[in-house]
Amino acid sequence: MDEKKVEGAAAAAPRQKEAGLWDRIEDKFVETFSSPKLAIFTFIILAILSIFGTVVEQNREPAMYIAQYGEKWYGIIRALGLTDIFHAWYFTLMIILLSVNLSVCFFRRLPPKWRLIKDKTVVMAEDAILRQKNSVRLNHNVSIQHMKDAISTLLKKKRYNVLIEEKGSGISIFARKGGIGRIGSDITHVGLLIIFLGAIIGSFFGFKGFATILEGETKHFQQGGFDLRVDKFWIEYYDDYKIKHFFSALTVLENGKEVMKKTIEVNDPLKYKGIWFYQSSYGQAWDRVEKARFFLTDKKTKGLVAEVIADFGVETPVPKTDIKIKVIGFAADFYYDTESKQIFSKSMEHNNPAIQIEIYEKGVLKSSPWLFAKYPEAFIDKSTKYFIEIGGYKAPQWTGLSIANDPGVNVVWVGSTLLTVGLFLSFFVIHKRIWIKIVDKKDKVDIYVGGNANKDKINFDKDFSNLIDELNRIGK
Amino acid sequence: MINSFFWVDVAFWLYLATFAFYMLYGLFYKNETLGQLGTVTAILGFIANTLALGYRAYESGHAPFANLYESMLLFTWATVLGYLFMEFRYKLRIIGAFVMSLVFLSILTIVWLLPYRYQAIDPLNPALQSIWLEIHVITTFLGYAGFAISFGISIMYLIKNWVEKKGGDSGLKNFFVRFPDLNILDNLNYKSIAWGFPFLTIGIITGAVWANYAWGTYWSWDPKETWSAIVWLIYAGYLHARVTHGWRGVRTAVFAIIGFLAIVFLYWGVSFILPGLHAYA
Repeated sequence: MDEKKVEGAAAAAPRQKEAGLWDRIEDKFVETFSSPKLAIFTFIILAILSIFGTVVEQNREPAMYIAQYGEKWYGIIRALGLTDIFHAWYFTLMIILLSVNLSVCFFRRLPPKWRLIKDKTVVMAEDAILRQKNSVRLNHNVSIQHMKDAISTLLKKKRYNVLIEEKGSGISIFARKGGIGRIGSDITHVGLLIIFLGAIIGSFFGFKGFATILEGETKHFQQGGFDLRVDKFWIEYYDDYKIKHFFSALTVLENGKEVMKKTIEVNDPLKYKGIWFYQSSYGQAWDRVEKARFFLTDKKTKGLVAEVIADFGVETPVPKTDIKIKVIGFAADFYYDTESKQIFSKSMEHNNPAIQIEIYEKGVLKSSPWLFAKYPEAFIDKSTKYFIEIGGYKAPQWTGLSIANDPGVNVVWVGSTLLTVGLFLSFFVIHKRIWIKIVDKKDKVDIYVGGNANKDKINFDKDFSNLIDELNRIGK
Repeated sequence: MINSFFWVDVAFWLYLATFAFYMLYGLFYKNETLGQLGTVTAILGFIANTLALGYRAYESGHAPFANLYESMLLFTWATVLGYLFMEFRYKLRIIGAFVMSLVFLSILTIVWLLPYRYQAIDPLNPALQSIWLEIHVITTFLGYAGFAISFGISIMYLIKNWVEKKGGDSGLKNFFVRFPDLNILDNLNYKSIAWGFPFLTIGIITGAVWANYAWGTYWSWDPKETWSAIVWLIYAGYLHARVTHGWRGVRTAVFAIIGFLAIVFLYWGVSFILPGLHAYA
């Protein structure tokens, strides 16, 4: 209803009234978005959404959710965005709402506070001084100049900034300290906004990745235009065989030239061109072996004939036989895809390790069977009179590196620092102001003292009564 | 044999004595000596607690914050430190009856309830070997201590408020006579949170700095991280409600209690119930 009225009026006197409407909208906007109510509301909503984000596991594979909640509920949970709630539109919306709240609050509250902190009005009338939260009127038998000097020294000793003005028969003194404590909350708010900014920068311009690199292998990193070589990987143990450290010796190469060397471990990454390489995990290769050991038994007599260690790809003669064995393939978690007729390792785990070998008898290739370390009798090769069994293998180590480039991270640290400094200022630095007027009454002086603090009144009460005690001592 | 377990036992009995003295002091109004005994045993308990942490550090060769047993010792240590500071400043011993009951419960929990394997000294796994372990854990627990004290005070506030409303004679009348005024309790509650909040904030930030060094990301919405954010939001809500919105009394006391329950979940619940990267304590 109201809107129509305004519209009609606006038509009659467009400029003036339009400004009026705009002002009203602005006022309403500022009022709504700078209110602590909105802040508390967004805090609570964000907290509740976050709780959902810990109750429902985030960003897992669909099968896991289906197993836990069933197909129907998974559909609902997914549709509601609960499987990735921290990136859901409504979570982002709440962060935006909070940011608007913070910004509006900042611009609305800072200027008046700033004026108050900067205020240098020294002269205050006697009755105004007595209207302060803490105030007192004293009367002493000392000269006005002596009193002025004593008070000034005293307040300066208490680390107040002291301003003095002399006018006619009176001297006015204004002492203040801790003004910055008033804007602590604003610094905190700006800090939080800067953290958000850093997070946005990181999510738009940064990247994260993971690489598994075998010992001795070199990998090219497109993003930085350089290569990374893993020279060595090793593990150190405690006496009880628990893992103490694990290390990767890395070399950065640019156009084939070594430009940097560093041994990384957990908590000590390599940083090159803004890209950080973290020691994250390690394991054994899933698609190759360095060497393998085989046992050959006679199928008839069941007696052990020979034992041989074969390097990968090398035709190795088996002693006491006319057989040679060559290792040609490995799958850590053997899988045979019936459609593509391909063999590969279905995971990085050594769940079902299998080695493919070629068997030569008198120089002739007889067969190339897959042998299974855990199930030696699953497939028995019939080409020779020997039963061949895997007696162990050594796969090369790989090192797992987390890779991150986050140009926003330093922005986040700046924001965090401001946020923390702001909190300490707002909780522990008190803005204290004291006004004093000394009025000359021939050989005597009347002293009016008044003051206030923006928080922790009990603390200021104590300060103030101490000050009065000391003034009385000066007067004696 | 003098080792860390010995000092934990000493601290346990001293904290029990402290708790008992403060309680008796509250119940037998005229006897100031009981309160003084409470303070003395609290100080002695604090010393034993310090020695327990020191011996533990010496025995394990690392900062004694690597599991729940060790961090609980730090929790009681920080809470008693905070409480003693408050007692010397405000001279309100009755608050000790509530804060020390929480401290006693905490040490009881680790001595009797926590599975024995937690008492074993474990070497630090690679992720924990960093100077950030000390910085992150100490700041976080200084924060927890402030919130624990605020929890005790909030309970006192609600009891006192309830008794005042009910009026008349209640059996524990003398006990409540000792309680400070409601507005003093409300103010002290705010002060403890004003202490806890900046330290919790530093704890979260140093955790983020550390995560960035160890895992390559300063924030990954891991359950521990998320719950620390939830706790932070609750207390941020408390501060805005009280400072900017003018809430006082029962509402802020309830707010502070909810906050501390969230901390208990952040500290214990997350470690036991929700899987994540932060699986130490």
